[in-house]
Amino acid sequence: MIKGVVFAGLIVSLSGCLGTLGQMRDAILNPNPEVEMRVPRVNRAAIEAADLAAVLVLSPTIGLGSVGVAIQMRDGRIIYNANDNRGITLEGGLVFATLGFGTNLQAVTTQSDDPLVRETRAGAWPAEVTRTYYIAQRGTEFAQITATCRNQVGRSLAIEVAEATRQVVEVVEICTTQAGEDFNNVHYLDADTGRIWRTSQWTGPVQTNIQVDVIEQFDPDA
Amino acid sequence: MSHKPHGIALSLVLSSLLAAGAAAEGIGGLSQAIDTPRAASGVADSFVIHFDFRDDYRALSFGLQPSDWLEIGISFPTYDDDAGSSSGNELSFGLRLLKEGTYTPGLTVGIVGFGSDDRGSGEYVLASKTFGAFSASVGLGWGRYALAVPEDRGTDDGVIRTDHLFEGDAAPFANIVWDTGVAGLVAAAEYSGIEGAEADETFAASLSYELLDGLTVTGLVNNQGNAGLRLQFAANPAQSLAQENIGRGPHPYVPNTPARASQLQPTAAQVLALLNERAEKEDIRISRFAMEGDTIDVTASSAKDVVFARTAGRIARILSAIAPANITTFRVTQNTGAFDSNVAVLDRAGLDRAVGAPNAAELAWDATSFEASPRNRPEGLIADRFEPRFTYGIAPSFRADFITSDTLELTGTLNANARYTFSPQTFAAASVGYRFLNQWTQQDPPAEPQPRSDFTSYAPDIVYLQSLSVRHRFRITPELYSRVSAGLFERAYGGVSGEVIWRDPEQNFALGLEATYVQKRAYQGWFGFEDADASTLIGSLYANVGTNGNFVILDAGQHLADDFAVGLTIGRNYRNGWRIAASTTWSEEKTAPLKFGAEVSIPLSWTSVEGGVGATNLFVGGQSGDFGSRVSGTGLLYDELRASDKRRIEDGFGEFWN
Repeated sequence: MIKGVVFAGLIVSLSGCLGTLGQMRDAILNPNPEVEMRVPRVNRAAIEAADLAAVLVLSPTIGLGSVGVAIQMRDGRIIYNANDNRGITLEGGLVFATLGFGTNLQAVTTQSDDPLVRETRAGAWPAEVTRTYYIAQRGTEFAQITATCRNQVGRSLAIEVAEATRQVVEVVEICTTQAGEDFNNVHYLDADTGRIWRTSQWTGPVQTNIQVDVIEQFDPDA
Repeated sequence: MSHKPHGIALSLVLSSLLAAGAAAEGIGGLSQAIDTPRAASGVADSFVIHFDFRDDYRALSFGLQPSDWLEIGISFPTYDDDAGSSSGNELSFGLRLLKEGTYTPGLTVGIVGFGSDDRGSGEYVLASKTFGAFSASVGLGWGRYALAVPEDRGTDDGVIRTDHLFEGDAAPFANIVWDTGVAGLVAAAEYSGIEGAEADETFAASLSYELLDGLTVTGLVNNQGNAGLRLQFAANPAQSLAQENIGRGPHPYVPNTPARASQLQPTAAQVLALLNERAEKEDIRISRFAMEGDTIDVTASSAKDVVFARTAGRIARILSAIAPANITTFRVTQNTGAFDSNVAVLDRAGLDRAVGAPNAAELAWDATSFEASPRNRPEGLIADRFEPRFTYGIAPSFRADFITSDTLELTGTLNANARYTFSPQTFAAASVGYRFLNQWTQQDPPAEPQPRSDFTSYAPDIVYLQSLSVRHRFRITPELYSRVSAGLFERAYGGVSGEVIWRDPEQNFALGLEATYVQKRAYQGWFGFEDADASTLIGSLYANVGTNGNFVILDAGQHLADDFAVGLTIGRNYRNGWRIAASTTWSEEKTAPLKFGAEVSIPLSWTSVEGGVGATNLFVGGQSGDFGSRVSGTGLLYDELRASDKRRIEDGFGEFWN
């Protein structure tokens, strides 16, 4: 009987309590402290001197960081390429595709007023955004995962992105897929323009969130 | 000579397992810490094979996880004690009632040895929780989880009982498993309320080491004075074993623009140099290259990747960036070892339209057509010069045979394989086997040799010559493949065999015909023969059906017992190279029962004499009876060509851009 009570107590002690929005944000940006991140040093001066658009991509699930440089513009999307053929495609601030960071994200389709694509200031985001993620599976059709995201505007703050300080507004997206799985995105938007400077976006069930720091924005007129 | 350090390591481990000793028991194929249960991994389609070796207990167990909330275990234990030896087959279930949450534990209930009256029967309820690298479970158990040797449970005169479930004496248990994160080491400790020979309660500890991907060896000890070893193979046919994350991405695709035409164009030699350099980084080997007119023709193969579509896609990505602007077609030839089978003809403009699109794989498939590789082609800029080579490997092989119509008994064999390859088409191979797991009762040789039912008469538990044969493969026309082989094909037969297969790369079926003449091999010794021979003539239809990797094989013709028989095999190819199939055979012989068999084929490079994407196989039933049996080991061509089936390539085309 005493053993039964002890074991019942152990079972109950395995329970816990709920978190907050701040904990959610911290969990996304620091998902697994046991995975050692290899982050390359960013030479901002060299990037600015070369007049390159560049991003720092961090994949916490595999503990890898890469600096990608814009090499192509295709259908309005910018393709950034890094060492070892890793790459990321951005449509505005939306992570459209990834290569070499685990399970490749093939594409994302979204609604026409997606604030990640359209550079929308934090207070003006639509209440909900629906996106569909495409990931390779058996056969010629990609698996599609559709998720709907609600957003909450957080604090205004200054962040450092590759040795440059940016005044940003924090926006957290709380997303649910059609299958009922939950994930969250965190974005830091330019306080004046709504342009993304840092974002952590879900890119699939295996690869999960990838963080992108925009070192130098792509300027089509440059 | 190529070396197989992993294979050698495996053989050393298995050798040490054979010398291991002393009791405690696994839990019938379900997830376990040491000898107490834990929650399932939560990954659907997981497949686990366990071998337990103790002094008075040994078992082979299979664990299947059809969904993330259900585990099914099938176990073949053998118990040795003062009363002698007993064997049984155990069916077990683990059901996750409550999924573990971020802050809440999971709840699992299990029934082990259902319908068995052997001492393996038991039930449990457990709660589990993961804390970082630690996974903890606590629970209550009945039957084998409460008593060292439970009795009177499961069946009553052959009638399956359920009134014993979760009844009688109960005992608590707890376990904790720690993934150290160091060199694949996992440590576990557990407590159970089972009274043993030396203490009223049992405490145990184990240390596991992952030798190779999915292959783990565990040493365990408890305070009852017992120790043992466990070998576990775990994999998931629905998840890729290859290329999941190779640390680099595929080459960026560069669309062909009009502006490129005005730039200086590279020569064929420059394209080849760049292609070789970049393909090598992706473990792709270029064995032929030609650039003529508007076409680049490449023969490419990957030693690590079983998905040809991905290899073709990676070649297309590289060529998109380095090929001259006037090149409109990339031809990527698939090589199976002996044959150049298909040519995937990729339309460059079609790929330009596909890349980056949400339906990019469908568009790429639309831009691809298939041709049979011509028998003779003009010499390319490079063409492979084959060097004769000697290779070897070690592969476990498992069979569960129907000794009688309702008795399934198990053998596990370790085969040491060696091959000398004279040319891509011709090799001599030998295999020496040792049966390390044997549930058969040895029989004396019969007065008259039998086609198959005498298989328990072949000498067990000694090193024996499994096979020694020569095989040559060649093409008669681009669509007609052929093979001749001679020698000792398998433990029971040796002779000569010939085969022809017709296949069109644009079709989803192939037709084959095999003729074989064999002599029955001696029951003792390596090279002798019995005074009995047989000939077979079997036609086969191989067809891929549907879009999920399903296939059907229909065999018909004269079999070993001079009987006409028809065999039907249905199965599924998984996209990572796994193959699971079931078969049945009907014989015209009226006394012959329907035969049933099953096969699991798992790609494991360390089991293959050729390395790379070789596979090991597990067979259940199938060959055991006299009627409807054929000779194995002749080298059926379809086993080599199946990866070239159009439907198989289409199945993998989602990976074209990966």
